[in-house]
Amino acid sequence: MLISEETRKKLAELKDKYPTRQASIMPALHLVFDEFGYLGVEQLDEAADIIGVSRLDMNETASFYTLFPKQKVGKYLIQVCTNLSCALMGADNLVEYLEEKLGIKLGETTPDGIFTLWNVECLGSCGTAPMMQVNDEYYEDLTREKVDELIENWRKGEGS
Amino acid sequence: MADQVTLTIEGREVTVPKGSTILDAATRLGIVIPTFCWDPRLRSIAACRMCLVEVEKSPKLVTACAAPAMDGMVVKVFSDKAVNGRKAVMEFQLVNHPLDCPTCDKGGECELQNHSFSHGPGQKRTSEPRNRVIFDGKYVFDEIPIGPVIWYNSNRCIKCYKCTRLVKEIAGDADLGAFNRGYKTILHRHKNVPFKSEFSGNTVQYCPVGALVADSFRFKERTWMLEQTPSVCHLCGDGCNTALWHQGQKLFRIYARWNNHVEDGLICDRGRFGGLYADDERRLQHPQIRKEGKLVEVSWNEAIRYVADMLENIMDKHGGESIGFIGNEMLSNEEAYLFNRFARQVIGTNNLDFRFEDRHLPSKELNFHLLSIMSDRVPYIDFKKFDNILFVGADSEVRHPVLTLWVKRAIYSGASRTYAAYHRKTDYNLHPAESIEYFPQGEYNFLLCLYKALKGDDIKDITSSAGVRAEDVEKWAEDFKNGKTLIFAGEDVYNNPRGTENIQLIEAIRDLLGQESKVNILFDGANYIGNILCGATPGILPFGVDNIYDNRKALADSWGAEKLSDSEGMNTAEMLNAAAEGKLKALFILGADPVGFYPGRGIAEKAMKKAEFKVVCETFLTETGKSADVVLPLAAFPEYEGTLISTEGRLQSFQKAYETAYTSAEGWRIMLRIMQKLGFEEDYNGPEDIWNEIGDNSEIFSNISHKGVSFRGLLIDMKFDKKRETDISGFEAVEAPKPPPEYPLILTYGTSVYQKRHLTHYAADMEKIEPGARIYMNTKNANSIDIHDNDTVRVSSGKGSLTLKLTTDQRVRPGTVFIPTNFIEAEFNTLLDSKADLTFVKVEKL
Repeated sequence: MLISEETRKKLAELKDKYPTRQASIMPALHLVFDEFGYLGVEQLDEAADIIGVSRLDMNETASFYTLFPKQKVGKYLIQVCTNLSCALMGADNLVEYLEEKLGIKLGETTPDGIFTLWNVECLGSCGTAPMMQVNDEYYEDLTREKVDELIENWRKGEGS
Repeated sequence: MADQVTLTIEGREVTVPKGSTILDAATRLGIVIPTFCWDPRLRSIAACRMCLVEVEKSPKLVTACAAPAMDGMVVKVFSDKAVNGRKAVMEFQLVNHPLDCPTCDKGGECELQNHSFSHGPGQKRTSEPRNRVIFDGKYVFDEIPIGPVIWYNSNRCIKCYKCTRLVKEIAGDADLGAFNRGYKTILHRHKNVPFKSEFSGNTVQYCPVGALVADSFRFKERTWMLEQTPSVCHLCGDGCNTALWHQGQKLFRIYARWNNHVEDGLICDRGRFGGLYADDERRLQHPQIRKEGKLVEVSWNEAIRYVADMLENIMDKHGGESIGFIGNEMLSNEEAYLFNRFARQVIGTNNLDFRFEDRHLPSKELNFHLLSIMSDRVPYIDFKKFDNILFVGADSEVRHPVLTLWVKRAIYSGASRTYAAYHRKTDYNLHPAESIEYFPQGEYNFLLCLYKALKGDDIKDITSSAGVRAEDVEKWAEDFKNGKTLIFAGEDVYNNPRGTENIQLIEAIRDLLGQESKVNILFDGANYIGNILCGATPGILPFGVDNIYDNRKALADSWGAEKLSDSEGMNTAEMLNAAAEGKLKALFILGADPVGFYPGRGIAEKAMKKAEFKVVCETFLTETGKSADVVLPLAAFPEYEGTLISTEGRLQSFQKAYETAYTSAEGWRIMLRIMQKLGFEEDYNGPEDIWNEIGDNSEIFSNISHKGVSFRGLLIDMKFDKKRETDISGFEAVEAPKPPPEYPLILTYGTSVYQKRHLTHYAADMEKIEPGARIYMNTKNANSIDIHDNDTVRVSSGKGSLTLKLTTDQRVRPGTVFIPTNFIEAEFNTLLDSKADLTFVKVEKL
């Protein structure tokens, strides 16, 4: 039993909320994600049993949504947009700089488990390119100095 | 008409029912629109876009498989816009498709190849390397084993989702799905659940490309080098139409032949992969005679002469009544008929039977009763007309996978609800269905409860004898009162110490439910009904007539025989007992393995030991064969032709694909040669001659020519519609089984979904799907004696003990254990007591 009692209760409530069981998969994915920060096969299986859909359906749907991490990620999930507008404004350089600064490659997590670096497609913030999303926040008009400052702050936040 | 629409396709008008698609309408006109993802049995999802057509006034091209036909629609299939649209789709499909057709097993029958040739562009315009999915570097050719017998190549996959839809929507299993998105989509199983749907082989047959390939056919042969022969699956009673793909005397694969009244193109893995046993090299290759205690290879002439001499000897010394005949339920009608002439006319005995896997065999009266019920049966395609479908005593998904597929369709379409009563939860219950589990052999008590509940009597006092809860039965009774009910009476209902009463109760229940409700009997065995109708049971003469003096006389006259035996005759259980006591001197066994599968190994072994002379005709050397005096190699099913009657009552014929392999011979030929040596004067050139004789003499089979039944089969009219008066008012519940303290568990046994006796063990694929026998036990029971999954345990009864691996299974009723019978090496029947109705066992951890 990986899922907490509280989330289980919320999942159970979903069961008959929608015309079909299948429809409750999306909100269930969010509930599991909120608790764990990622969607693991074991958590999904448990959630599937609770809401009454097949484990396969649950895993299929989760795999479709690439925005959900499928493995444990760092405390700060850095998602850098590398789509057209950001690319024109130097997103590739930004990724390189982040890789160098954090000592990891795209898609990896720092050994201390604080940062995970991803590149993603357009986040709809082209006017303020280059930009990145860290957890639920947008950070825009990025420069090396800004990135330095942000990372410094987060590292400090971890230390205290 | 309001429910019809008229549209124009390519300048031709066509009227179709409302709700039809453009594709349906075009098909009606004979216009072929290419498709990949469309399948008549599945809902359209328009995933592949291959069927694009132009519709006037529609700005974009539409998919013909999903767009409903509408009144006044003008459709252009071959306009430039439509043709270019399809060409673009084809080009898109081929952007990443590997050019490995020369090594791809689908090459030659590939829809992508065909459509590419007729609709695609000749050239590729992109210069980027093709996207390539590599799952695991250790496999060459980018293929991974997705299931025990199926390989998946994601690069070839065009994502039509036919496989996942077949498995999910029709078979109702959840073990194959589409993961990820866009060009990264792959079809895969769930990480922790193996792809083991018993219909998994169909995904290979219906994959339009070479993405899913069967292990047994991978890199074996090009499809255009193979011939196809229409056949009928022998491995259960459902009568699936199959096509044998072979080259010379080698069988490469078995596909569904698509008879939309029978299997509808979907056959189970037992039939598809298990049937390949016919090709195994371990088959018996020469006739053998026991000389100085050892089986020695001899010529056919010597073997036949020896058998005839020995049988003649025994007839002279002890009379024909001292010889017994045991056949099997896979005998074709022709074989069964000749088997019966051999025993009754040439030897002069009524000791013959085709059943040997059950001890409580239906009596003559019960068989007549079953046939009279089957005269008013419901064919597969009409299951959906019933509101409630009740299974009693049937492990339907295991014994009748394809029949159950039709029931599933009725459920999934929302037309019917299902109720299953058995001594354990059947797989079936994984799908929306209600279930009741009664005590093993508790069919009688359960049916009595249900009958009384329907009549409105109080059943509180008797439900404990069946091991069920009164409120469950009452709820079912309440449900059945609404709407039409179809009752399936399974094998455990009539192969039961109280078989006659059970069937009477089922009829009484049907009568209470009203005229609209029907009963179907389930027969496990490719030709159960045919064997009865062709005379392979002691009490019933050929063509379903009672074995009484007048009928015997008439039959003897028609055969030109002097006189037929007046004795009652013995069934298999009685024959084995008599042989063990030394009363039966000789046994002629045709394709049966009583030592391996008769419930009571001890008595079968004793019978084989005591009888003076035993002839065994078999495809493989069985346990019974090892103790025989003469072993004759029997042809496998692709090597002869004949007719079979399925559990639906459908008469179907199977064709001969190739000549008999090695020196084996067909059953009818072996019998005929021996009969002729014993003075039988007639001759047959083949099964067709025998069939003509059956047709000439039988009311049921008259006017049906051997060729006439070849492709679609005929639902035969059995004309046993005599109404039977039965009085069930005096029926009382019997005592519930009480295991003794030293053996606290009740043993139950039954077939496995992948196996048919010893035969399928010789198919290489089946071993991969189901590696060996196990014992199944409820988790609660197992925990109480501290046994866990995969532990090795010893099961012992008063008769013997076995060592098996254990699987904990919630479906097994607490207080019972389940052992599948179809594993020769497991020797499950050593545990069984041939006298007692139920066997009690204990399980210990080793």
